[in-house]
Amino acid sequence: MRSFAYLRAESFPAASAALETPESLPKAAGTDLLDLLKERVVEPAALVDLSRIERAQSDPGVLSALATLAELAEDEGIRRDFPALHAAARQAATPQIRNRGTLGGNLCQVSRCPYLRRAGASCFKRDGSPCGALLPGGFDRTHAIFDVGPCACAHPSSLAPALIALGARVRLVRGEERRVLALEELYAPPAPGRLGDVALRPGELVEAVLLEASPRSRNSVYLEMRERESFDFALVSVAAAVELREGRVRSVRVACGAVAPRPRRMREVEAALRGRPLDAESIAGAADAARVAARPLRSNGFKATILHRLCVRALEELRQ
Amino acid sequence: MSQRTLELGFSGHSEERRVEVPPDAPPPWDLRSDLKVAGKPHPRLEARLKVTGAARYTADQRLPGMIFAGAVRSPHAHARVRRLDLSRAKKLPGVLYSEAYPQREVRYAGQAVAALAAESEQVLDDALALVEVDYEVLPHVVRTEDALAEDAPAVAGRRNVRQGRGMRRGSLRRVEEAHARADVVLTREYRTQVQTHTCLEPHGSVARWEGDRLTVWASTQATFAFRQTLARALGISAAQVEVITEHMGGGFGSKFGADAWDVFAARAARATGRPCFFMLDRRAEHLVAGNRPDSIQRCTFSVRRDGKLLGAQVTSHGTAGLGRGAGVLNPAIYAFEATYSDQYDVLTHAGSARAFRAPRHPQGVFALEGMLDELAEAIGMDPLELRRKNDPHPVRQAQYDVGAEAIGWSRRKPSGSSPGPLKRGLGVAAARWAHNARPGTAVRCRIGRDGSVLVANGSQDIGTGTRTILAQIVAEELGLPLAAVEVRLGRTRDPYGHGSGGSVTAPSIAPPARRAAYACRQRLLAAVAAALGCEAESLSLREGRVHGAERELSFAAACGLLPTESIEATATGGPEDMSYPSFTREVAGVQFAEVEVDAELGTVRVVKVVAVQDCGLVANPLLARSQINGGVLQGISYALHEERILDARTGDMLNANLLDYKILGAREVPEIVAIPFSVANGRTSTGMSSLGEPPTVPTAGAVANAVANAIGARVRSLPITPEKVLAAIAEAERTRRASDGEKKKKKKKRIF
Amino acid sequence: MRTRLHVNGEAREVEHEPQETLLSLLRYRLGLTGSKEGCGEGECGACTVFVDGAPVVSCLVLAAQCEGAQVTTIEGLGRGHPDGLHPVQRAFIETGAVQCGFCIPGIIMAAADAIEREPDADRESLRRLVAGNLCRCTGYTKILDAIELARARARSGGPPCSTK
Repeated sequence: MRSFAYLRAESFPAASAALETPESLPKAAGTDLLDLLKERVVEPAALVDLSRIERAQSDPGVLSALATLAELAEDEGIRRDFPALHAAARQAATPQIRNRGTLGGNLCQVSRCPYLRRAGASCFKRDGSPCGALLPGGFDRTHAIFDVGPCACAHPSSLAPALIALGARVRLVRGEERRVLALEELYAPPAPGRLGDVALRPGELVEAVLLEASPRSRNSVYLEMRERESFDFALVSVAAAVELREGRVRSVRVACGAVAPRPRRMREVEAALRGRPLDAESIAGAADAARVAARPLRSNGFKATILHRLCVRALEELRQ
Repeated sequence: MSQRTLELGFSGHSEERRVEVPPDAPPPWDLRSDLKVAGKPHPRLEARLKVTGAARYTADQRLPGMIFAGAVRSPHAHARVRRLDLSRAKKLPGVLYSEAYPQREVRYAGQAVAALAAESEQVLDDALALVEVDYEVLPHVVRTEDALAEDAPAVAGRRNVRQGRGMRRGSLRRVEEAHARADVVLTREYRTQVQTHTCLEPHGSVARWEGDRLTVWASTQATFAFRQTLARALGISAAQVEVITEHMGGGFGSKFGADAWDVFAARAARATGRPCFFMLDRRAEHLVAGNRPDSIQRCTFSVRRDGKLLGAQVTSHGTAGLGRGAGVLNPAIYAFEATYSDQYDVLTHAGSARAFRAPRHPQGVFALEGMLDELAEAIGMDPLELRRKNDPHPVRQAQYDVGAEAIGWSRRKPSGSSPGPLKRGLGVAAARWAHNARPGTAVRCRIGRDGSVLVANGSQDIGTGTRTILAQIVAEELGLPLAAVEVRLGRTRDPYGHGSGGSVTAPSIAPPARRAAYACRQRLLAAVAAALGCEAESLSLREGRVHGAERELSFAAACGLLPTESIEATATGGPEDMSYPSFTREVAGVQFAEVEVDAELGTVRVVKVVAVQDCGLVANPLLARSQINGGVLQGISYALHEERILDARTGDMLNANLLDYKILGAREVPEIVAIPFSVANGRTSTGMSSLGEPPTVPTAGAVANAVANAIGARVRSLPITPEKVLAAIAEAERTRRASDGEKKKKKKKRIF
Repeated sequence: MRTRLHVNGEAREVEHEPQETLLSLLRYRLGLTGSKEGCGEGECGACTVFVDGAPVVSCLVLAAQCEGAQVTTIEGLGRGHPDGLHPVQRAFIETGAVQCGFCIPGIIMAAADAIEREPDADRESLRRLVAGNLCRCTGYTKILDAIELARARARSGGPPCSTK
């Protein structure tokens, strides 16, 4: 790890101001960042510690970006009103990391791509060089099956697809300025120098996640498939939220993780369900729609199969 | 010599045997021995130190003035070093020592090109980043298959494919004759992956000089070999070096001698006059500290319709990187009429393999046991029945019964008949091992006039429980409780002991420990005979007391009568206590696995493993179960998850951590029913057999067979990943559909 | 820089570099070497300690972030318990849950938290609670046995487990 200056921020505006200086990075728990620092993938001159920022008294629809994964997993209100978020938080990482890792950190984390996380390897996002996974002989088994451009990274966040399915918005802060975005708009396509795939302006930070409880959010689910239950990132994750009225799908949101460079809203799946009864036939059609746009790489075609089957399982759970 | 009759074998299957016992040796333990301390489930002696964090491992040494060392490693598998510049690094304040290795070529990713020692870990880290290396990347090959190609870059010498001595065995002609008599002949290809040892404690050492004497705290499973290799590398005498390994965090075959980093630490310590610390990080562990070679095994096996196994023919290719020893061991368990194996090492630009818990066995047994199940399927026989028919080992025959009962083998359904997406299956596989008691280990026993008992040996306890077993043996011989015996291990100033490899440690150390204690016991009894008014021969030592015909003394009081401050005896394991005729020639083991496969997602969950393992006489059931559990753990991990992934383009390892290189965690571990199977084999005076390695041999084979039983399709390649499971299911479905189509057209003779 | 924290109940004030981790501070600055470094990346759990009562991987926590924190390490876990052993430590000894022992301090910390946090957890849930700790020797079987034993004793009126 390169030496850096350590600054403890007392508030978001103060943190934001500190981050205006070049070569500085924010750190909440920093469980992901510390790995990257140790590997010298990032070498900031200063770290701005967000963990001591006083959290505003939250109303139930406002989740502080500094809430830990453990807090989210243990919150009864979340369990009741946002089961998809509860499930995603509960399965993330390990107990020790859930005790430190934050909501904001989970949303802004860096892909698990081995080329990205290794100083010196060929990586589009680090320095514009060709994506190692896409080069001949490259390892692409865990990578994206959708929207692969110059970078084949799969987005690792498990909370993001759950929150997108729940229709969450994020509140960003920069100095005294605040703006609110739909969560899916937080993410930007892969670009050199933007490791975390988030379209934040210099000094801008995620302050909170805004959620509204609804019949749809209460009827939500998050499923993931991973190779090692004890501790692993998902190979494929699916989150869905459905509101049924008189037996038909009145409103629906579906999102997937680990299958594209960004958490992916599955509009083709939503379209296949909207207005239809949620039954075996519509679910099969929706799951088929999920993989229509998939363009797997050399060795990850199985992720499309798994996506299909997880979609079926997720939607089956919402039939009521 | 005195004559003794021993009862050997196991419960329900024993026989008497006459043996001659040398005069200065205790008679061997057998089925009739009524042991009080040995063979009992005592918690390990150092457990308290380990659960409180007080046990000091190598990296826990904190010496005044200690400096820290690390290496600059090549990210390229094959490259010429054009320029290597340490000047900026050396200018950094706090950098105290450096070495450059300007070899013409690096031949694997991870190879060190320079090493540095510095005041602190932070300075070291900064300095390593300042070393400038200009590499000219050269053509390389890191995959076994690629290295076999005609136009593959040569790794060393002209050819990448080598066959060492002993790598061709058996008679091809006889195997072909056997195949010709068979009803079914199958040819299949099985593959296994490269597995890294992944000891939780990394490799490394701390070196300190005092004058011309060197003390090294090392994480090693062979203190004496470490001392020897280090002394040789430094050009000094082994007598100048003391190696200390009090506690160590796993080796599994990868820690047998001093490595380049250990030599660097010693040189840096000598040059700077300060103790030097050098532990590998996790990435280097995976890259440079050894691995289990992979294999591509082409197998042609044959069987008669009545289940008689006929021919077994295996051609294998595997890579040990730049090293050797990628052979597999497989048709060795069952009584085939003829076997032939032809094995090749394939050189690649990758870190060298090292011995890894039962080298050659798990990969070979995976293919062998898969082939057996495929043959059984082809002749319509229960796989367990096929094994019973062809297994010559009396112990395994009994173990099949025990294991089948414990797993509930009668529940096994025809392969692929499990309905629904979650499919259950059962599988079985076996292991063999040698009774590896090796002569040459020396143990010193000392009884003090104060009643203290000390046992000492310079070899190490790598977590297997050697320390505890030593105390049990000596306590047993002296009729004392375990707590009365103090054990000192892991210092090379004490008597010689072998490296912990080949599962030799307990079987080799126990006989001399017992004989050293026996010698002390004889001398103690001689010293107190007069006081008790009878002959030494008529005295006995039990329950902490010396018993005479009429009178008795406490052990402490007896020791108080010693004429000298202490009595001491050193015994060396040799023919007098480790070469009696043995009940069996091989250690036997059988494992059964039950799995649940999610046939939609391709994931495999191991539900239960029953491991029945021949331990000889069980030294300590708690420790024996731990060894078995651990072997099963590593076997499942190997079967389902572990795999070193090298980037074909750069040759660098892509999963050199503990997240992407997946070893089994608590949620993956099934219910493990470890059944230590006690066999009095009579070979040594203490009867313990090799146990460290055999329990990991059959696990992957049993799990793979259970998966095939569950899904009705076979994955012939490890690790059994979701995509392989899904592909096997899809392939089986295609075949079934095609053959249904065929059947409709015309009835045809079945061809295998 | 300087950080003030409590370690095993004792107030400490430690001078250190900004980039030092809590693990490094404990092992090198304070000589508490019971917490082990197995990977340095939060993947093995061998460095688990409590920070303000919750288990964390100390290799991924900056020492600087522990200003004012209460830290408990394996060395301090048994404080106030009979014979200096937390019930989980005692159970690990008795069931033979320890082999090479390198992962054990971390697992014991996670386990001590687990039985307090979810006293009614079944074996499956216990697995989940120690899923952040890797062990290469034991097969976890006896580790889980030990945790269940410690919990059963705590339930049947044994000494309280809390040490945080």
